[in-house]
Amino acid sequence: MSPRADAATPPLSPAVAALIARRRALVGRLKEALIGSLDLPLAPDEIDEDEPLFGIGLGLDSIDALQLVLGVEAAFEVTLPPDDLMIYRSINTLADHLTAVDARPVA
Amino acid sequence: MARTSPLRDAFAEAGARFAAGDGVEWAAAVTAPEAEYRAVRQHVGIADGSELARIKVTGEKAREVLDALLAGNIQSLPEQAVRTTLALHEDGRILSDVTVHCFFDDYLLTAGAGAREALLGRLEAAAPDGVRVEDWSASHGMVRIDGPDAADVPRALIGLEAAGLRLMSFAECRLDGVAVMVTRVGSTGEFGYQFMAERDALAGILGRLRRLVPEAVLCGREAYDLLQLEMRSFNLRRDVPHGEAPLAAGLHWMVDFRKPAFLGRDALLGAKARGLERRMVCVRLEGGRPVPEPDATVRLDGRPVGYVAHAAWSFGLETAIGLAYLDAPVAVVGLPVAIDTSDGPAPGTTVSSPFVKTRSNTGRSR
Repeated sequence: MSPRADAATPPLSPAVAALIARRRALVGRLKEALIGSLDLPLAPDEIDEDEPLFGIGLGLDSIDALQLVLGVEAAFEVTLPPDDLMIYRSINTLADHLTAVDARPVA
Repeated sequence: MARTSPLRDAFAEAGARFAAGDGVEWAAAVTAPEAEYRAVRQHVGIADGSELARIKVTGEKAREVLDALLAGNIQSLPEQAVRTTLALHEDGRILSDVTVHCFFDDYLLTAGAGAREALLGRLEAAAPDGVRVEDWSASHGMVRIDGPDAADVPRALIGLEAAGLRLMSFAECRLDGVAVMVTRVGSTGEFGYQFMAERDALAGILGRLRRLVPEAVLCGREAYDLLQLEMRSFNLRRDVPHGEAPLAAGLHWMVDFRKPAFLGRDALLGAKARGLERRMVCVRLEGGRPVPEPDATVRLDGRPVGYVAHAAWSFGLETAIGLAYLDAPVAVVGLPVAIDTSDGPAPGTTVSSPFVKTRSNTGRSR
């Protein structure tokens, strides 16, 4: 395995640190929207960001999909496209889309 | 001596190169991994899954026995449904991923070949009177087809009883008077079906499949390793090289966190409560770079932040892709990283899975 960073290693650049902070906030808010809109009996750290949401994985169905879309649209004040199913594959693919359209969570 | 597949002669005749390990032999490649890969992504590929361990558990209390040993919820698994879960060691490490087929009171498990003896031992030790544990690993075999054009094959081969299977479900059918279990799975991102039957019947099923779909290409495990990697489908032999924990590998969905007891639960939940040290992410390198070796260092801003678990050249993307374990605080998508290779640091980006959009998933060509 690789060596770990230690105290002598320089800190991450501000630009990279900002990328990490923004992505972590985004996936955290998405997990909250997913759990809240579907009332899932899960904690945020019990969902992996790459985990498939439908079929194999979390096992959501088409009714869940509608609730999820409404929950995410409300949390980010954004309209999600209905025709690109790959957006809905995982928390990460949803986050990629929201990043691409520069959607921000509602305060 | 390694257990050989009932399809060995057919694959050998097609030019297969074989490999062995965990007491079994498998076809590593048949023609060339690129041709096999492209067959699955564009039409249909046929592969031999007979090397897997297969265990039948029968009896009224079988459900309780499995629920105590496996991390997923077996109690809620409906009849004719399939669930992928994990068998863990007491210390929380992964023994194997396990696919459970539910026949109401009876269950069929498939797992990695290397887990066969341990699983059998655990099941036999836990089984009360009335629960029978049978090793079907040698007595049965399995052939699988995958590809965007595979969806109609079960119906064409067997009939209506095998048509329209939902993902992660199965049907008990007959073909030429032989019992065949047809299971719909999805590890390659394409339409995928497994045909399991007694050992002596399997070559006949393969022959019927090849006559029905003459353009289908026989595939080996090397092509399937790449197909699974592109989907980030769990690969027991590749994805946890240092016994990484299930949650570090992103296998949360195989675990029922609300189940009060299962083997390895305390260790798994203890690690979760302490916080993960590392987490797996997907990395895509810029084109033309060499494929990183396992354990190659991943750097962020020049700092070592993790290591490669499994990487390969994607024929479809024409670049190297891989799975890497990164320090948890930086294990997110969208970061510019560099991976140490024989040609020096190779730039790449952490990306979401899957690496590719498949025709089967999108209904359109790439």
